Amino acid sequence: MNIPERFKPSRSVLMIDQWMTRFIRFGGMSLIIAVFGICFFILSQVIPLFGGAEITLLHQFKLDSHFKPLTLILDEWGELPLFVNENGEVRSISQKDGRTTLLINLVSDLKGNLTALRYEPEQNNLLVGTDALEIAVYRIDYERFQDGDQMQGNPSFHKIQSYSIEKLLRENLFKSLKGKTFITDLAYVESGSRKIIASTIKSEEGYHSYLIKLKEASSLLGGGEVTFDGLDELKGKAGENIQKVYVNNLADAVVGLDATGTFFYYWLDSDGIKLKQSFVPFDEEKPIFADFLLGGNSFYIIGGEGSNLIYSLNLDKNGEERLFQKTKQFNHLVPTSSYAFAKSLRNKAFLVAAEKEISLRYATTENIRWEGESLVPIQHVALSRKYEHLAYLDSANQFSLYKLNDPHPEGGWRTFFGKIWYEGASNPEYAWQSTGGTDDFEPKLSLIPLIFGTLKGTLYAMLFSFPIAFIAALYTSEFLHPRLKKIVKPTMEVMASLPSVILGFIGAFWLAPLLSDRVPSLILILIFLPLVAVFLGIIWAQLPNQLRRILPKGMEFFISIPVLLLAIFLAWKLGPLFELIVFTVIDPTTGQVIADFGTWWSQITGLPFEQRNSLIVGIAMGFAVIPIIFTISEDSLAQVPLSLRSASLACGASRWQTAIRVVVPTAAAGVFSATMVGLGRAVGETMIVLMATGNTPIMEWNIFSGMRTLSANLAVELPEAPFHGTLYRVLFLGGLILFLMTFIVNTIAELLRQYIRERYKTL
Amino acid sequence: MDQEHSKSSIVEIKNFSFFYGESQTLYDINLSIQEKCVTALIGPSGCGKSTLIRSINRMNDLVEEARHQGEILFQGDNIYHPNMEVISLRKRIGMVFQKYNPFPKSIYENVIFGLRVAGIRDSKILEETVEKSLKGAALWDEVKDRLHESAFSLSGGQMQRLCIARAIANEPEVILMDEPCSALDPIATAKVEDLLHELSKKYTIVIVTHNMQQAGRVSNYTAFLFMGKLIEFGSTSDLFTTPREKKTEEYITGRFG
Repeated sequence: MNIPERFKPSRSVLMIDQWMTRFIRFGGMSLIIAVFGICFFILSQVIPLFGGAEITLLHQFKLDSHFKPLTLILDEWGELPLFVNENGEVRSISQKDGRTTLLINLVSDLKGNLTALRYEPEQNNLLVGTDALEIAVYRIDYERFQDGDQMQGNPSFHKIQSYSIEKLLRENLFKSLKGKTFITDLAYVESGSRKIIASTIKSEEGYHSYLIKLKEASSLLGGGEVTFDGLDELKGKAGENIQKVYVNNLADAVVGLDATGTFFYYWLDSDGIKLKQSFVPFDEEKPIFADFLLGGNSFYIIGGEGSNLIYSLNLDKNGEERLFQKTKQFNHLVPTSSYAFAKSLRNKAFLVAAEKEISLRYATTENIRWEGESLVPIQHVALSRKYEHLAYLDSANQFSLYKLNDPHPEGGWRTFFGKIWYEGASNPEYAWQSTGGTDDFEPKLSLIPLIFGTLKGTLYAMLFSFPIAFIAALYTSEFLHPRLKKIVKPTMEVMASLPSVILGFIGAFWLAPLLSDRVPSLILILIFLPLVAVFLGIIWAQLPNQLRRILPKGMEFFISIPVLLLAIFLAWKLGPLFELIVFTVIDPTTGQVIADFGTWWSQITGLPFEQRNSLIVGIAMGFAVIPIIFTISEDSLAQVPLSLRSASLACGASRWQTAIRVVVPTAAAGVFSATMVGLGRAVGETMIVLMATGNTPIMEWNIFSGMRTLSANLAVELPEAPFHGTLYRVLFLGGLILFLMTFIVNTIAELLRQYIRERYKTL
Repeated sequence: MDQEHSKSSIVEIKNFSFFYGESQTLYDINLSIQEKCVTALIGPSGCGKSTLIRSINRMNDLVEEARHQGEILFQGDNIYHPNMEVISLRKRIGMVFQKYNPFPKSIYENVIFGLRVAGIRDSKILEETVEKSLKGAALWDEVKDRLHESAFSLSGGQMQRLCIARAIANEPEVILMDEPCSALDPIATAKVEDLLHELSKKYTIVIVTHNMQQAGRVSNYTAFLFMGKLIEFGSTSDLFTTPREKKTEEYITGRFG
């Protein structure tokens, strides 16, 4: 086709057009990719939290069949596995060829044969007892040295305690035991200067359990001489004989088991030993195995039918005494007569084997981290101190050592969103407390209190800001003089750009102290303002027309503002008087009658009164949210077609009726979407809540207490979270949830906006 | 001519001028509108006929910087007097607009809007009014089975008749119609014109139209406005057959407009 030259667009126009089209398309696509990229990155950081443990086989060796190991021990680095043979020999297993080396014989300098052996990993002690009623406690120390390219650990054994029970019984005038006697069970714990040996002896008459208390003389140079400090026989409530004894690592709780399957809990303090509680964990099963988990709070019990559960030392219902309560129940194990068990020293995980089945379980969450099966029954299991290796020995004397990779054992849906009965708590709860002072601390990682805090902060902010913003928008769009409207709207938009850190700062350091003793004034303002406004309206309506005409329409507030300010001033000044009349309580400490709202509030409601509370957040965050709601609402109200207003007025409606019956319903979705955008802002707001609350992750709606929001939590916990650690990933999870919350809120707002635009297109 | 009708005039416009800010849109209008008649205001675009009709129920109050001179008497009272209650004035002088503007509510709620804002809650009265008004607007048979559906489900012509029903639900004395058929197709226009005949038996109607055939068909009296001035006013038959002014003749014969 031949187009005349004058109709042809110039080449530069075409080129620029084409180039810009591509550039804009590229920019748009990059933006979408970036958003999705961020989402995928966050997801990739979060997903490992929900995975299980992985193990990889390092070595597998067959030990000589004449060895009959009684226990298996893994060192900190998983380099030098040890086992103790039935004759008291400690042998190491070489990782090169599986050959064993004799390191020490634990009973060589004791009288009698080995009858009781116990390995206590927390203090790395090996305890031995003989049929001559002699006991010894050995501590295993590792010396690290360089061997070629590799670091090697060389264990050494120090005998730290050694006693003859028989001699002690005799010296302390206990009745001598009849017939053939031997030690069946042992426990040893050091806690500060207190040291305890527990020992069970079997004689012809049955079992007897004794507690030997030792005292360490304190000296400036550290540990002094250890001397004997008393001997007690443990008895049940009705004098039952105790067959097994367990002592926790704080040396304050001793648990004994009798022949009927009843556990007795003794409490130890400087005064002596006191039986506090007895409990029967199973109705029909006999307890086969029990041990304290890391921290000495949780007591893990396995029954003969494979039931396994945890009793924890928790405050009772009255909050007075710490007693054992059943807190956890795990999946059944295969029933057997002896279970193999090893606890982690990094967390609340433990390894348990029953017959051929072995599983790594996590106490806090009741999760099974990993499960495996061997060809023959497993006899002994071990976990390295760093929770990086696991090993087991089966009945065919086959030793297997695995690398354990379980970076987030405390993770899982229940941890983040479910109720968990934590150690020391009086019931299951949603709790957030990510870090503690000690290694045996149980991280509490429920996101529910943070989600709750986010919602609470948002709710109070909306309660404050929505009425103000909406009514202001309605007034501005329907009643305010157009000339003033031109000033008000941009001013509000400038307010929206106020940095939230300044609002937070003002809220925390000016508003919070100001309002902390002026709540009654605030209540009075809330009562006075609407009353005065209504009263003013009534008076205005009574004035004759000529007088009202002096003020142009839309300028009425020139009169009302000074009056309202006066009302606020009066309310503020009358507050203390109001407090004196209404909020009087008897001070619990002095017994005098005082007028103090904070004390009144805590006494009446039983809820705390804090200076940096939700009220402050509501007001400070309200100031961030008001401009957003105001601007968008005002736009949507002003967009209601003039023809509808005319129609309404022509029907004889007043301006107020027109505003309420026609304008607001027509713009309702726009106002709603404005509210949602404001809500989205409040949900994601960080600095204000961070500064103006105490950041305590509590779950109560009390307006006079604080909260911790998801966003503030990120800021607070950031320095505590090691790279790729559990907390690090949980913070990402919190971020993801925050993102989802704001995404949902904003999407609803946008969908509504489009729906409404479609609906009123005909107007 | 004036004498002939003065005994039944209901609205009396006297020396009325109107200004939007600095610009004057109406110049010294004198006009008297007869009771239970249809009075048409015609004239080219921008001649001030809409401004004039909107002054009669003070809809121009909504406009910023509007002011006026002279007076408009309704039943003998000046509607611009400070003591005039605008709300009751608008109840007595209803209005139908150029573009149909039902509220985003149901048909039922649209009709009774005037009663609702007047605080009438008796459902019997409301239902009677809906039926009477919709019948009065010749819409009843078309919508009686779907009174509670959205008004936006109606066609354009139906919506305009709904607006008429809404106006007559208040039982006004005067109905102002500002080009009520300009957004309608010829069939819908014919229906509204038929309706006007019926309504004029009961109500005084003032209608603005730029369609001279329509003015000729529906009105008893016609006023011709040009450049904000009233050029000629008289009975429709006289004005269309024997116009006294040259401008009128030029306009109705289509020489400009």
